[in-house]
Amino acid sequence: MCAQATGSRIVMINPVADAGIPASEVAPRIGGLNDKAMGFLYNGHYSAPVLFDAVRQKLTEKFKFSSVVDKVKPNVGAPSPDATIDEVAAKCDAVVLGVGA
Amino acid sequence: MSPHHESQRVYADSVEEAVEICYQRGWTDGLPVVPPTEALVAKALEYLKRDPSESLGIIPPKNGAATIEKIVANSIMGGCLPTYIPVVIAALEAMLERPFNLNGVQTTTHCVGPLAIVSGPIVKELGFNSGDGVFGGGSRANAAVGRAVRLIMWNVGGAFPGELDRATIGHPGKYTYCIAENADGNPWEAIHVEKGLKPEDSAVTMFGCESPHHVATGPGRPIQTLYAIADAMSTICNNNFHFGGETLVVLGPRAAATVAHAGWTRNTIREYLYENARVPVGRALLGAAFDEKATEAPGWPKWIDPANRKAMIPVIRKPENINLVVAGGWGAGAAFCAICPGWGYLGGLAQTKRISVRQE
Repeated sequence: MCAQATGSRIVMINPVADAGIPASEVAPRIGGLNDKAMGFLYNGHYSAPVLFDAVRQKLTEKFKFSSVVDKVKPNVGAPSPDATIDEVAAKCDAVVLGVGA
Repeated sequence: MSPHHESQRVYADSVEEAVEICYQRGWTDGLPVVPPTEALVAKALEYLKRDPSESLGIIPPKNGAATIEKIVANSIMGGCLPTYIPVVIAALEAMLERPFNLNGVQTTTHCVGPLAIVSGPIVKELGFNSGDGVFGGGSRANAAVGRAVRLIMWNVGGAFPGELDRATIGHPGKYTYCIAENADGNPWEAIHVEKGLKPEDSAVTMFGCESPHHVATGPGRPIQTLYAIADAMSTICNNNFHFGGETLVVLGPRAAATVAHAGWTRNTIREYLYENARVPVGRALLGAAFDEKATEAPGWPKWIDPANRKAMIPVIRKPENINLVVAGGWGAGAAFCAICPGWGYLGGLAQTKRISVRQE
């Protein structure tokens, strides 16, 4: 291993990349869920319906939604297709998502 | 060449200290690395003649930018010669294709690791091992290219075990996982030709999979060889069985010659394996049920009647989901093959990229 021109020191290139954190901001608050369009984006995990159905039941007991949109992510291990995200964003005021297994 | 965004410099007073600094800073996967000195990086950049600040893309889950400089630094750490780095670059390009789902592969609780399959003239030109011990040690090219890929996943993608890499068991391929196709022992077209490239091209096919399962196919007739492979595939606790997706079958050259001589083609082999690598519902429910009341698993083909305990569930849902490559040594009295189950439909699907040796 050859020494560098700066005396006997070895100069290494840091191989680590900085973490790329996409810029984001908190969505505007919608002031409650009554009369809002609600979305449920099931994450596709085989156990997801148990939790999602329970959350859905609690929310529908407590709030009166103007409409409900149900979607299922086709691949639990990958992000939702862009078209699904666009559709849910266009049709809903708020969305229940699931992360993990 | 665009203005170069230089990486941080890190200093050491000796080779010994440099190696230890790499450990202290978390740059290695546990094995020692070649310190990525300015001189070695500059030499490789001169060979590649590419802009060091050029980014191939974002490596998840940390979303670090895979710049040429970072790729070179990590490749040197893995033991790559400059001539190996175009192979590493092609491997990254393949893994960044959407169907590979690199973020999922990097972060899943499954053991999946990316396997690089190098094919074409570059195999002999650079001394990749495609023969004896193809999945093992002994070849600088295999070891270094596979290691470079892993170190990039580590240092650029942030896939540290127990942190963003949630694999519970993992496998040794997460140190290095690279083989080459045995062109001399392959009676059919090269894997990259089947994937759409030209015979004179060199390519790397990336596939996310488990560690190889050795299959002692023995000295039998072709149908016995193929049955042995189908039998090895017919287990209930791999992600192909649960979730479909692709698998990899590695035919040793002796087995390939035996079946090819009897008239088998890649596609007839696939058809046979699809038909015969199957598990009865009754056996599946003994171990693959997701809760004790389950009568079926969600990922089974819809045409399976779960009430029929003798119905046979195909481990691979379609013949074309079986990737085939010829690799390994000839052996002595018996043939050996291997299977590498995939991660299912979730990702790691085989992607092939041509290796480009110089900037065109």
